[in-house]
Amino acid sequence: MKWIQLIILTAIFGLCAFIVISRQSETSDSKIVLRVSHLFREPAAEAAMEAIGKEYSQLHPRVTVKFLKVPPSIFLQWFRIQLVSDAPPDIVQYQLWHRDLRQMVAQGFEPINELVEQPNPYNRGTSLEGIPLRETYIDGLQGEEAFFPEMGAYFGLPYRGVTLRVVYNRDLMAKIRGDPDWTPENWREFIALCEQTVAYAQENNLKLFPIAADKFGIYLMGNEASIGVSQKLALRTNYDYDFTLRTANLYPSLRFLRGEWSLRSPEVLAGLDIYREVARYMQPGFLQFDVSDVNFQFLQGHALMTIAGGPSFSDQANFSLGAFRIPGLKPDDQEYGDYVLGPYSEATHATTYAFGIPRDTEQKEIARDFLQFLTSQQTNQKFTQSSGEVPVIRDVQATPLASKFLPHLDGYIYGILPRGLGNTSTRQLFSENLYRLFQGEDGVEKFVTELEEKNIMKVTARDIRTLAQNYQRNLRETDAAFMAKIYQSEHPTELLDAHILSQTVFELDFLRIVYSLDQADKLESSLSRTP
Amino acid sequence: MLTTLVSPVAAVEASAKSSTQGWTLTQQYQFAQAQQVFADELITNPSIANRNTRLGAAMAMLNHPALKSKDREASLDELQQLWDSRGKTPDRVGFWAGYSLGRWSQNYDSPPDFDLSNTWYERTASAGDDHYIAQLARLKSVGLWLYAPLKSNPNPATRVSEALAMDSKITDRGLRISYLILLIDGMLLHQSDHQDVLTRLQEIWALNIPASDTRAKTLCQLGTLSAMVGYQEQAIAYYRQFLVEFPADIRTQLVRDRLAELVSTSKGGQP
Repeated sequence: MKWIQLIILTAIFGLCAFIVISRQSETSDSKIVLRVSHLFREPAAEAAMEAIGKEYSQLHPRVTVKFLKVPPSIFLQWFRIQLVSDAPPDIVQYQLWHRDLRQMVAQGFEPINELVEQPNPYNRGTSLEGIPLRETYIDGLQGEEAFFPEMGAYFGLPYRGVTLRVVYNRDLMAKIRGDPDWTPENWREFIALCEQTVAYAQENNLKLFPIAADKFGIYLMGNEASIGVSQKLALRTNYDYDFTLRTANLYPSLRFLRGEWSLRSPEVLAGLDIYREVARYMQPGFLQFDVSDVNFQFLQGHALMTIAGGPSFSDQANFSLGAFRIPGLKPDDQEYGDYVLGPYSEATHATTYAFGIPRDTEQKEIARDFLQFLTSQQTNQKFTQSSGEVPVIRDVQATPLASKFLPHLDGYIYGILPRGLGNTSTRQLFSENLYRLFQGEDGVEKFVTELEEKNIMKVTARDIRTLAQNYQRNLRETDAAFMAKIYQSEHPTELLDAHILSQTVFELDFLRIVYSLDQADKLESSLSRTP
Repeated sequence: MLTTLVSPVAAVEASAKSSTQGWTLTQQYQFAQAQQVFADELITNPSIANRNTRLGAAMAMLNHPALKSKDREASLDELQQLWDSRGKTPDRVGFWAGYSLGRWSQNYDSPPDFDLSNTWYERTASAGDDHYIAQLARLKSVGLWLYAPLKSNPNPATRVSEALAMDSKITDRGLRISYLILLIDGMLLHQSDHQDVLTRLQEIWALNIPASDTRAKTLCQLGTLSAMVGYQEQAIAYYRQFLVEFPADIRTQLVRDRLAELVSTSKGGQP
């Protein structure tokens, strides 16, 4: 017990020490120190960021850029503290892997709409000269870490391309398929490749599996594989005919609460079947593995394929790597085609690791200028070449492997994914019972029954209620700011119109939540009255 | 205090300056600092500090990150007093006080009291027909009528008709765009007649919506609803406009498909 206390105490001390060190002001009379926190773990990316900082200082000799690397394991706690601190870094790189983070960015960061609509001055003399910064991005800054549609506001400039791809061992592909660059064209060919790999392993008595994955990997791969099968369901439940699932987790949850789809919808059951199909080709016991086990197995040549969000571990492999997009289902698929629209657009999930400016920082002008420098074509080119990362800016040359990760912008909307329901509690329920899905012949039925018995509707409603409170907090703060804005202007101006419009769009989501929760209550009470 | 003794004019100016500073801080979401500025002003110049400062202090306090229940109650009492003393033709403070009490019931209380909130919106709205804040209150009331679980348990038709009852009373352009956004969404949710929805969509389109995502959504809705009520050529025109304005949007592929379908079933020319 004492050991546990000691470990906790040490961890708290470590976090505090890190925060104190990260806040140290190093300004001197003539120098300006711009503090930038980032999340890059890879040495090459880290070194590339340092080089960018030095280059900026050469252009602006008064400014020194100090980078602070924030370990992902403490990011959430660190981020919370920075947002209430008097002296947060001038620029913070964030990733919205936790829903609270989205709310925290919306409340604690400076909207940068003006910045993204202006041409980037550092693009003078390039093919992007005179083009608004937003349009210089490969994805047009549509990603959910950059643009918050519910507020009509941009908060961050992403710096890492992050499309999911199957990464494979080219040597093994050559042995199995006779061509190191062969890639499957559709879902059926992908499954056939997995079968061929199993057969190859048996024939050659090898410890070789088609896919190396951990628990997170099954979600990524299962989602990618099954995302098409519920596209028509997503469109059918799109009551406002806007053809999107904006706020990708919230809208499916609200439709679920209103009873417009359930775990027994044929499209959802088909998606769960696809999860099972993929899992058959992963190494046994994958639910117990973590990412380091998976990387080890893949890098040791025990798996033909794994799934990755970027080419970051390419320098660790002693064989050459290939990559391809997980081939989605198509409308001509004999089994699932009726539910499918076609390959989905990666436009809203193509970038991550966004750099934003905390509202309380004092050096906003220099921070804005540095962001423009960072996201210029030339700087992103240098970063991409030195780090091997996927470019985020248009007309930047990617490395051969990184080019496989460039997003496919054409395509259809996402389907509805059951794992996207609710928030933390719902996902925990899903994760805790996931093993049932892969057991026996009737895994889908067992999994769905268990989630129904655990009242997934109620758990989802609880998660969404918590979310509603976050919306309320945000609304009351914007109310006060809006009032202050009106107080300082004689008549409503365009600026106020923009403010009220973004609040309305945001509040509409809150009102939809309120309505959907009420519908869920009514649905539940009508079910409980049914004999 | 010293300033007051030296020069009353200077004191008034100083008071106005610190009040402005308080509002600036509020606008920047620095509620604790704003509250301090307003509170200092109320202590330093109690005879000069006006209703604006009292309103500012109450609003900043209600958003204070370390709000205590006694301060919350005192701030709500202050809003109530500012509302009660609004006079026959309410001043701006009076309107804001009533509106803010409505917002409190909707966004501060957990669980929210939507009926009380709506009552405050209606009171504020009826205090001045054309006033901007009266129209703003009406807009918020529309939202509750369309979506909130009110005690009267309105059916879908009632929800929409209550929202439509505000139609002629929200005239400010910015607020009208917001009103139409809520109304169109509510009408679609409650399955109103598509022709009626299309009329509203055309109205909002004529107002030249500024935000690009809302604009993309509206164009998409205009095309789809036009096709649904049988105006094929009109639908084609809206979809084409969408493809011109949003060539790389998440909706683009679907719009392209729908356009191709419409063109193939009409004499509309090339997609």
